[in-house]
Amino acid sequence: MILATPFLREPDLFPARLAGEPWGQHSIGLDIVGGPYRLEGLSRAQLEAVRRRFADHLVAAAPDPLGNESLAACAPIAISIFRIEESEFLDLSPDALEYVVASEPTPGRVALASPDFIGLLDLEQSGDASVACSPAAAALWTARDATLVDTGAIENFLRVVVAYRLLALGGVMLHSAAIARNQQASVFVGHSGAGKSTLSRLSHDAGLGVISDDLNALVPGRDGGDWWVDQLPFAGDFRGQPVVAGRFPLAGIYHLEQAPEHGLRVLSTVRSVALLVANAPFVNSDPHRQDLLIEVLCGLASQASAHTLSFRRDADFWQLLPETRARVRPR
Amino acid sequence: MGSRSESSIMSSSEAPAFKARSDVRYRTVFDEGIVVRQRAAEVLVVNSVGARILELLREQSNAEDLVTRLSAEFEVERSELEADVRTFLDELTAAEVVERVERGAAG
Repeated sequence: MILATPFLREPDLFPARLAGEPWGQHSIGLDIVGGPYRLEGLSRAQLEAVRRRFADHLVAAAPDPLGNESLAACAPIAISIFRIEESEFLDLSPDALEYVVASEPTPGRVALASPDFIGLLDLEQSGDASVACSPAAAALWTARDATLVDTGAIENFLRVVVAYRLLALGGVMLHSAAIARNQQASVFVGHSGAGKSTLSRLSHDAGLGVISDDLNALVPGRDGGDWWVDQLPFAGDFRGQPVVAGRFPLAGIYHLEQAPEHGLRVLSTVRSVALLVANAPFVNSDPHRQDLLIEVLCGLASQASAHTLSFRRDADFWQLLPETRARVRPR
Repeated sequence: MGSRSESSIMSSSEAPAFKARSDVRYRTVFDEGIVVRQRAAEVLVVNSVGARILELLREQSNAEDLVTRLSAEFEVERSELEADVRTFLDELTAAEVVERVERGAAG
């Protein structure tokens, strides 16, 4: 398998099915938007590590004698954790390459490979979608026991699973900073280095709530009208800092660019869609889900106000942003 | 093969053909086009004429054929259309959205 060539000694032995040797018998449910997601086959050390890392996103339920959370009340997306020998991975120097998660999507599945895990995501059709997009089940193979969480393997895998799940639900995961003000969320989109983390820190220092400085979920309301911003447990440079939890109505979308002075310009619908496509990680490089992604983002762009925000790296830019959500969006 | 400095469109039989690259996806949104280059993870926006050209380049075509078809759809002077098409093809080629196709290759 070409995907795994940079990472595995024998890439042709990439698993064909969601099967393998589990690390243990433990499972845990994660309450992340689009879920719940159930991690299965964990060792005790992995279970405790996941509990600590995702402490704010655990499914609340009575534990069974093994310490597993019961998920009988909902249908979770199962993610099996299997073990693989360390020797299966190429011995890559930490300086050899930038950490990447490579993906190889097909109509019904997404295969993933990285320096420390490989994964499979089986997709199924859901709702009115004409393509398979919703995760039916997934599996992650790793040589890491307790460091499954510390190395970021489970988080990197979960990001992909959640991205596909959100798209299947008519929403999207955006590479963005989201800030809560007046019980609404403003979403700031921009390339790496555009200032999302700086903006988050400045906003926090100004007394505003940071939802996330890295990845946020945007989901449509049940009536198909207003959109909402849901917090994801995936932070960037703001990791470890106080964040505000919950779901907030979307106030507006801002394309962030650095400039000598603050400024605000309306962004056309088509340029909004282009911006959102470029910042919808994982699914935007999947040709089989491309049309669905653009359709979803056209819906978002037609509902949300969007502007380019020229940003001078101080918190005064908030004076330019409307206090409340714009109800009508100009083209 | 013509060079970029040529000022006129070649005849259909000798003009280079173009075709959208296999990793390019695009969609018309409100009369403009969104172009996604999968391999480069890059997103571009083109105007309505550009979107129509990309649609026509699903199958290989040369500049003259494009101009002939577009002149029937847009109220633009042919000379202006020829210049715009030539410029647009150059830009799309440079942006690796379309590629030149050797004459005689399967289209």
